[in-house]
Amino acid sequence: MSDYLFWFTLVTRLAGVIAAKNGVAPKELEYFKLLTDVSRITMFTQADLKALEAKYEAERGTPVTVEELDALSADIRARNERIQATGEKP
Amino acid sequence: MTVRQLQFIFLLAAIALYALAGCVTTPQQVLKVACDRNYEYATERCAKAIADTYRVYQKRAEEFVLDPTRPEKLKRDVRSAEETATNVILDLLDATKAYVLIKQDLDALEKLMAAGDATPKEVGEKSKELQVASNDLDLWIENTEPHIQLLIKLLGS
Repeated sequence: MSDYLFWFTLVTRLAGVIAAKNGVAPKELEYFKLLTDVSRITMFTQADLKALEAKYEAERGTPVTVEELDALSADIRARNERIQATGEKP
Repeated sequence: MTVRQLQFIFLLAAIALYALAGCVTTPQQVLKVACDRNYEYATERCAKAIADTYRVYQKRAEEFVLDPTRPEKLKRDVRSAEETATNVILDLLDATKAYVLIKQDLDALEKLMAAGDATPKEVGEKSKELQVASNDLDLWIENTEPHIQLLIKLLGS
């Protein structure tokens, strides 16, 4: 899946470059940028979800440890702090 | 490049996206594997998988808010959805941790009982405690879905 999206991203980007060289209006070029952008995000999300599916398939029937849960909580909390810190300060 | 050629490219792109949509891995597929009740430890694995799946979208949210080309209003919406969802997911992980610890205690008590060092009453009480923690966890699992869906919707926009 991520391979297909990689090629799709590449093709839309190339199409954008060709369109720009052929004098397509900037407004229309925005559509190419949008398509490339959407497929890029989808590509990374898909790669992560596929990896997770494979991981949970391989680990079926195994226990979850407190250490794993703590590590997951710490990672989510740290990213949350970074995301919230990007907002406007009151 | 003519408008007709542009339309043709977009038609092709739309067809390609439509075709790709048929073979995507959805968050629901990940959870279907992790929450399979035919395997042991499904309850805690399911809860952990929800948090792991959420982390995938939380990473996208971080990229989104750091992207200078994104509109500030959308970034605010993403930050707000992320904040709410994170709190729910952290509560879910706390409930999972409590459940895992009670389960470990119950296993230890059962071994002690087999050796004659714990009473069936003690084991019974711990079993009840585990049932309560399990019900709590099921409730948290139900609560998380709408929050993750909102974040997915915002990041897809």
